[in-house]
Amino acid sequence: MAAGMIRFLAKGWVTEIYLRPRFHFPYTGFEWIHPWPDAWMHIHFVLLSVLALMLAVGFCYRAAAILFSLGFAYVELIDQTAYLNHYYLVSLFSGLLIFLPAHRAWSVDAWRKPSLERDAVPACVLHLLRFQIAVVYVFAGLAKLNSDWLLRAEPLRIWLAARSDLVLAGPWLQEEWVAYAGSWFGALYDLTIVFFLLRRRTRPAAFLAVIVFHVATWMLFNIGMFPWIMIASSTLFLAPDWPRRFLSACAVITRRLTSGGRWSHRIGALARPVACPRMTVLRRPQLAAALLVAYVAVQVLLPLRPYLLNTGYPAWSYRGFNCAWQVMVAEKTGYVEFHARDPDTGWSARVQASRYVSPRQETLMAQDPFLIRELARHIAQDLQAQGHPRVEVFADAFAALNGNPSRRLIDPNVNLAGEASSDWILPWVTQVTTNSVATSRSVPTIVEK
Amino acid sequence: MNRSFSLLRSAWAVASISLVLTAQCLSAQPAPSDKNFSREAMLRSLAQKVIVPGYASLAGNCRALADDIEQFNATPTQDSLDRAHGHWKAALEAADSLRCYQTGPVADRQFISTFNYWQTIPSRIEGIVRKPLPAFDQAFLDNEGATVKGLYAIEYLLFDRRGGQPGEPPEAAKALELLSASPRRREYLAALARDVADKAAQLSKDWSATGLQSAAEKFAAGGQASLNLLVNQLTQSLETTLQNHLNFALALPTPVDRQLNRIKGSRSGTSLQSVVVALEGVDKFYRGEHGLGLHDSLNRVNPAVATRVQDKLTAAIAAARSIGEPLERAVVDKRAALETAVKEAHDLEVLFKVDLPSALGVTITFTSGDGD
Repeated sequence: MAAGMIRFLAKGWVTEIYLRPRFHFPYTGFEWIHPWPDAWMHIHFVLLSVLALMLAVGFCYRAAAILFSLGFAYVELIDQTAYLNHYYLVSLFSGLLIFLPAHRAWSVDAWRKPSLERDAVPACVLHLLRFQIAVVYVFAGLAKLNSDWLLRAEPLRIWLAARSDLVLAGPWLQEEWVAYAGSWFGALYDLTIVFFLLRRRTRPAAFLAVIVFHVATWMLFNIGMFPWIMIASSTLFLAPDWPRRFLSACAVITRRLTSGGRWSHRIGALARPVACPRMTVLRRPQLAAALLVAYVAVQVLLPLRPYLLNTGYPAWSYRGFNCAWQVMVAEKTGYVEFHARDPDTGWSARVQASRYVSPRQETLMAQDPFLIRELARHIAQDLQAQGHPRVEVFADAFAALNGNPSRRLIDPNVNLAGEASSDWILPWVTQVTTNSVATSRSVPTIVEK
Repeated sequence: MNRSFSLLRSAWAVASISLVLTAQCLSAQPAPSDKNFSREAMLRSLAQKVIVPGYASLAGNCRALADDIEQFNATPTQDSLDRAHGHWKAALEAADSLRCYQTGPVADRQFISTFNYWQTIPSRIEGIVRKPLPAFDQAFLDNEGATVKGLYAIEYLLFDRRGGQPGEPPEAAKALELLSASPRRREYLAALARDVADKAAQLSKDWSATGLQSAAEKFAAGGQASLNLLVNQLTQSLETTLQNHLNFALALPTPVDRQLNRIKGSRSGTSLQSVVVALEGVDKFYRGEHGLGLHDSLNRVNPAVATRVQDKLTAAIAAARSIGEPLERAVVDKRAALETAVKEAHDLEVLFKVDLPSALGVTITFTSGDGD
């Protein structure tokens, strides 16, 4: 994550995502969170990087975990358009690390204060982390069990065809059967990899598959740190003593190479278990168990929202889409025009979204009906302040999902600035697509510049 | 010893099998479903059949315009002026058909405004031609801004002055009379025409050059990045055509004849021509002008969307053509036709912003409201 934060700074994303936009899409209940002014936001990311390093080496571990977790969550809560599944995973992991004893061995803290050192931690710690990874894979697999993914090989077909200029593999990526094979293998991989990683006999091949799969996705798709986070996280499924065995092997190799030098002894010593008291279960077992059960329940129920609440196609309505491991299941493009009308004066105008949001925000907002409604409400507030107290805001919103023809996303006759009706998001299945695009609700109106 | 030998033998076996399999994979190229199609072939075809001929046409018409203006300056008659009018319109048509792709040499050399910037400032042009000095050489033109030079500054000098428009001299006047009466005005017109012709020739040369660093080769080799850029540019062009021309004319408050200076090409009566040609320009890139185009790319991955876009392009062009008269007149007496054209262009814009990028995996960057 230290590298991830530096990458974020180096690519100019701090300015692009947090500082340039005049309007942010906050999460409900977190409207009070705003970005720091200019340089402070950059400093925030530098500090996150330092805190991540402190976590990695176990220096002032508990404080670093708390500060990193809060600092990262703050960044994530500023703007909904910044949501990414792997950032959500990092938020969860960093939150868990506050409570987990990850600094009890091979850490600066344990080196400075040997009484902290333990040779083993309770198994529930490892199981909890494995559970978290399993949730990601299994729900990502379940999300792929839909007709677009399995029967049309979408959106993989679109994404692979877009990479057809790759050397050697390029021509193959245009082939339909490759898209189908990739789709089915991808779903199967997500659904089963955890079970293969858990079984001792299949673990080596499964771990190799993890590496091959994620490196392939890194090469083919623009998905940032996600493959590396998943490869690193999958080592949790290896035998718990693998770091010691790995170091032992390193010590042997170093000894052969250096004819038994100082380094091989040091590495060998590090690999040997330490004589120290076993770590008992947490201090307040009942409270710990209750928290654990609550956490597990939330982690299972959140991704189940689309299935339990029958919210329709989550990638279309965005109901139950985020925090549900709907990973790489949608190629969605949207377009929205806002129209404002003052029923008192008859004044009407088309309002440019670019007055309020950045091009990046506009692209992402146009796919998500809830963000469209959020901006519509903000536009209404702005126009109310300009002397239109009862202004109504409507949206002409279209979206195309997984190569299907575009459809209306939102009922164009619903005033998004008013009280929300239950059926303002038009359903995916009931719309008939014709050769004609549904017409806009009102043309022409003066374009607000 | 035996164990080591056995290990070595296994390693050799694994390596040999891997080598054979890799060789098989590399040699057995998959049979593409359409043997003539690849993205690189499509981009190459678009460069050779749309862009290169487009710039050649622009260069030819701009050179002919410069020659006409030289002849007019030698003998200022209505006939020679009419010939210059004809070639100015042809040059504009060539420029408008390329307006949907404003990347490559035209952007690198900062020539976009020469052919597309239309909001000239008449008072500044009048100020330039009124002064006895300096000479209108290239150095002078290079120091001047887009508001006093380029294709639309030539339009201002070449066509009749209507009068009553904001920023212009109040009285109407015939271009022939104004030009005949002022050698300095004629000199400026000729200098502008030479500048435009030289720039068009340079662009044509850039696109028709060969070699790995040529514009056409870079465009073809750009792969998905070139495709992203192309779709974004076409989308932006559609958005501009709809919002800044068709919809803008429709939303103008009355009386329209006091605001003609706000409508592109109204002086030369080319406001509708510009719209139609801009849409046809998008169509050329989409269909590929007897070669491969975006339609072929789309048709391979999503025939339904490909047909939808093609039909909607045809409908939008037909609706724009059916307006039948310049926008400044149509907004008064053919409003229904203009509204139909707006609706068709809007539907097309949605298809280009939503369906097409979704099907081709293109990242769209909205520029709504940026204007041209």
